[in-house]
Amino acid sequence: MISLQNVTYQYPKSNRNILNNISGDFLEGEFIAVVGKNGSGKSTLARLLNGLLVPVNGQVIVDSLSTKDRENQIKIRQKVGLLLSSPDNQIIFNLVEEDVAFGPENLGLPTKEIKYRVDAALKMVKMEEFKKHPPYLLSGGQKQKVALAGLLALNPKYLVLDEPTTMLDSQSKQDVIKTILDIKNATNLTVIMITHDLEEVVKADRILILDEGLIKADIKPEEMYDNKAVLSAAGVELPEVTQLIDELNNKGLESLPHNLLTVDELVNELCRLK
Amino acid sequence: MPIKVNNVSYAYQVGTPYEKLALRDVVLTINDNSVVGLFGITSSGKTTLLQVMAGLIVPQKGQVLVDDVKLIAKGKRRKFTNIGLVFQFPETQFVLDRVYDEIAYGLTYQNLDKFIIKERVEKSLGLVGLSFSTYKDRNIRTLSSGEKRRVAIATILALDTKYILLDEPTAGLDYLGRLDLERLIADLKANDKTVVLVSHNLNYLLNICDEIYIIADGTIDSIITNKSSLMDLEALYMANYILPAYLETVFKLRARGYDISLNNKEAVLEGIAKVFRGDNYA
Ligand SMILES: Nc1ncnc2c1ncn2[C@@H]1O[C@H](COP(=O)(O)OP(=O)(O)OP(=O)(O)O)[C@@H](O)[C@H]1O
Ligand SMILES: [Mg+2]
Repeated sequence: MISLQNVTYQYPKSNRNILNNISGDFLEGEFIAVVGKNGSGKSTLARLLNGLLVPVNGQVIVDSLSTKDRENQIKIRQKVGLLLSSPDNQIIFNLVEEDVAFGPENLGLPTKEIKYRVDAALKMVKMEEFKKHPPYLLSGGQKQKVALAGLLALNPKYLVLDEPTTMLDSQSKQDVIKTILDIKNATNLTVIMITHDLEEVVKADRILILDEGLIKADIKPEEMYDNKAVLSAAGVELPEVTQLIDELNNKGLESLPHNLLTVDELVNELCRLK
Repeated sequence: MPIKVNNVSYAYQVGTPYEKLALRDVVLTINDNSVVGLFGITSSGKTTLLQVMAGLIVPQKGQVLVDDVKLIAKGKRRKFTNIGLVFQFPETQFVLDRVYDEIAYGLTYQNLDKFIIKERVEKSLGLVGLSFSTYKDRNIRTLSSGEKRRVAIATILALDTKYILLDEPTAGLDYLGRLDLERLIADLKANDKTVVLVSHNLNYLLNICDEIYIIADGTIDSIITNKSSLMDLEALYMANYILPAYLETVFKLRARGYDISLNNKEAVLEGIAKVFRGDNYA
């Protein structure tokens, strides 16, 4: 479990509390989406979770290790993998397999173990066949999956994904999200994903809404409609399907429930009405 | 006077085993005072096309005319092109550290009065929703990703060029930022500017563009205009492109045999409601 305990954060030479006394837990196997305006502190939170930043006040506890203790740093970085949105900045080697091996090599693992981990990680992101490819020839989505494999090769317990699909086109976006969901379902990894894409948000177990340094809401995707005032105040729109249901209900389809989150669910529900 | 792309072909890594033809005999005209979208999947060639229009890439074949003048002469880009390009990755666009300096940088070549420069910087920051006093002295590298995107756009707006090319401008912007950009683009058009934007969000393009070029495999596959019918969009749906939710819903219902009109959005909603709302609705 990762625990935020009254976490306050301020950047050096600034007097603004980016996060202001926030608390909450991220449990094993959970998939949590974090949303909020530009500048609301999402990436700051991501960096606090893996110890790149440490709270000015309060604590971040990863499996009973505080990120404030320098001696925990290596262990925490290994437990909490952080993926950023720009794939090019995260890939440095000439071959996909070298890139994925970089982390485990740094841990000083035996060659056989490294090889095993690289293969397993590439298999998890379905990129085995690209093992011997130069990364720069891959598409953005494929690069992002290679970067993800690099994190998985460290056997993390938590994945923090900071807008992992922002720079990708729709098809690659869906591919990366599906890969993340498959991994999450096949393992007990905790996935914490920052995104501005509401179609991705609805796939999470839980949604945290950040605004003005606070967690303004902690809700399930199905509860978004009931919390639309909070969402709107925090600059977060409703998913497209939720908006569409509203428009349809205004046309006399009053029985459509607001907890339908995808076009397929909506189409099935409509056909059931008939 | 428009931007004319005449028979442009471009290949990356020519002469290596990785040679890739990115644009194939592309012909298109961007009309003055219009908002034009370039849409397509990764590696369809849309960013390459935008960079060709900006003169950043010299095509192996064909040429680009801007206001009837060749953009590239003797293999070199003309110096003053009246074209501003916002890059897909803001980091690759920035040259300086301080927000103010970065936005003012392009203006120093325009021989403008210091006072005018300040006015332009302030106005451009305002247009992208950033307060001048809060952001002018900030170091760009420490901005959040959405803030960087906004500064990148402000930098180009400050140049006040006639043509504004935007590569994935909504990536990383929050909901309000996307709405602001929508308004901003409408304003630019109202002020006689021409905007070309690459986006993988067809939904967004449909809201703001006069014309959308669907790029596939280095060529223009089809063109959607504000006069296109929803039937034309059904063809895109069949080709697996992601469309607005109301369209996906109606196309799926039609595929299941429900005959719902595709006149316009209002008719679609009305049609769905009529089919499914039961008999006793008054
Ligand atoms: N080193 C720094 N010094 C001062 N302020 C900073 C620094 N780094 C970040 N900030 C500010 O802290 C705020 C929160 O930044 P953060 O990157 O966490 O936002 P975010 O929610 O991820 O936004 P986005 O959606 O744009 O990515 C922003 O206003 C940012 O400008
Ligand atoms: Mg961020």
